[in-house]
Amino acid sequence: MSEKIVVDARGTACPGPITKLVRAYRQAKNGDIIEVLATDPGFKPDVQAWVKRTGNELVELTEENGVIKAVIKVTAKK
Amino acid sequence: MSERDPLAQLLTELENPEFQEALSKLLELVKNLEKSGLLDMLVAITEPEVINRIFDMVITTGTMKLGDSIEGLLNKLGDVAEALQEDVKPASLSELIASLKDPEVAKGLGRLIALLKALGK
Amino acid sequence: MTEKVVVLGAGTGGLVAANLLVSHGYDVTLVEKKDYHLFQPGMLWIAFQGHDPSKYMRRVDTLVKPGVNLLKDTVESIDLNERTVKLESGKTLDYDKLIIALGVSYDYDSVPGHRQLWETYGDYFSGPEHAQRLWKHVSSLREGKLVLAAADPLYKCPPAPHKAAFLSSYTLKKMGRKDKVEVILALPFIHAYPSETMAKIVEPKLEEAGVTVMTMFTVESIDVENKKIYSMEGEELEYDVAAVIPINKGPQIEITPDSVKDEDGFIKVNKYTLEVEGFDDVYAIGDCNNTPTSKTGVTAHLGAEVVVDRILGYDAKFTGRTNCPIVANGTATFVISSYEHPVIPVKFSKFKRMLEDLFIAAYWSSLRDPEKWRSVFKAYFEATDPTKLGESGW
Repeated sequence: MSEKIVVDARGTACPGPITKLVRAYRQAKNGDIIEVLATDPGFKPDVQAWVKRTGNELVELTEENGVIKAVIKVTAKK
Repeated sequence: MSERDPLAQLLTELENPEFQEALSKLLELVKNLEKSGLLDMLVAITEPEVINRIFDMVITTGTMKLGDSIEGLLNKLGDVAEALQEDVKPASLSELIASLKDPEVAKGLGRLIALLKALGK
Repeated sequence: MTEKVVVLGAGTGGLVAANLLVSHGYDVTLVEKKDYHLFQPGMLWIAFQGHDPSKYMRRVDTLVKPGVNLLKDTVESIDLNERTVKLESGKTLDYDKLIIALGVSYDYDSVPGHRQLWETYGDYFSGPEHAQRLWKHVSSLREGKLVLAAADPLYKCPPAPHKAAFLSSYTLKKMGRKDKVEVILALPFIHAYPSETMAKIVEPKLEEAGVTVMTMFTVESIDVENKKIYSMEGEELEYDVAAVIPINKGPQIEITPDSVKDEDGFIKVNKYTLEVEGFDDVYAIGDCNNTPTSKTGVTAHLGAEVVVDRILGYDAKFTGRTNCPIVANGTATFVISSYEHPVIPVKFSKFKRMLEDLFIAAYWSSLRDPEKWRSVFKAYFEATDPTKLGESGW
């Protein structure tokens, strides 16, 4: 069964929201959806770089009222 | 991390000639400090309250930035000292204007303007 | 009646809190399971430069002020509703105020092969004896690859692996093996350092030291037989000697109610007051809490000061300020940020290395007599406040 994992990384500075995404990814399996909420402006390019490297799917990347939302479909787990 | 008795440890140290020599020098230093009156001053300065005031005065954003640039400043001072040793002939106004084409002179002038700005703040 | 304060753990945060409170006349009990306090950054010098561990260790009883009731015991469980702490010896303590400063615990079992790797090579996180084991392997590595990696992006002292890379590359250079041994720094972050601002400063310095940097490499499993490390991001690395930072979790003790712990066992606190969620008589300081800032000795020290002030009745607030030193050859820089201010650019300099040397020199005294150092540290943290240093940094 696929799951949806919501990661709230709002207000997280150094070492940053990507930390929380990586941690959620360890627990995830293919088909799962990881949704990350962040306020750190550096998160946008970071999540794009991460998706490109890991080969997962970026379903949505939006920004509203200073909150960045990234929705990732896990497809690259071995 | 020795578990030995500190007093016994001190006694063995006392038998060490190196330690004896250092100790006699230390006594000499203390005698000199006392003779010159500096010891009294040191005792007063090292009162916690005075130390705190000194630190408070010395540790500021400005001094922290200054400390960081000291290395560069000292190198610059070395260059300046070297330039002062050089033999130069008096420069005319036209030579001064012509020298502005020299990138090093132009950069130096830029620095001077930045310095004047900082001084005027 | 004097207020009874129980402090759990004699690390940086616990010692500073206990020693400050006792000088204000509180009845302070400090519980610690170990005989020695370890200056944790010292493990880097033990592991990568062969320093003697005794240089970085002091007996806990020499670090507490007279009047602190020091108990050598292990905390088993805490009941925040009953206001009691149960110890391994069978003793039960009650308190008016409780300060939890129990640090992190390490998980070597969630990453396959990790325990075996750690038992073989040691690391620079878990204790001086393990750092010594790593030194044995690093110092006898004639040729091949030294891999410094992490099992998770959340670990204490974010620049620790960078310092490890710098120190080991200088050691190898000194031994004349620089061309034969490759130092590889493989970390989970997008850039060479978690903060991109500092990555831009640290990366060229790592390059200069000849360190190979790999980003987005989070250790997923280790094959000790074939000397290979696999990452979650789908890559593999061969090694001859490797040290992998373990997954950091909260302290392994039972707390009632269980809801004050997050999913990794870190204790949930108000990030400004450091009060444990739902309890105004309990604080968690340093590495064991869930504040969104770096886990370091500096944050533990500053957190302890805030908590002591709050117990004294002041409305003190923790700012999340960090001052993580990164030392390179003869120079150093600091990672400076706070809750309100992202990391500012701070470059390497000899002056900062001197400051770091002074901080280390003051370490033992700042634990035992924190009140004497307060105004000095206050002056430093104010002078280097990220807003004061400005966007151009330091």
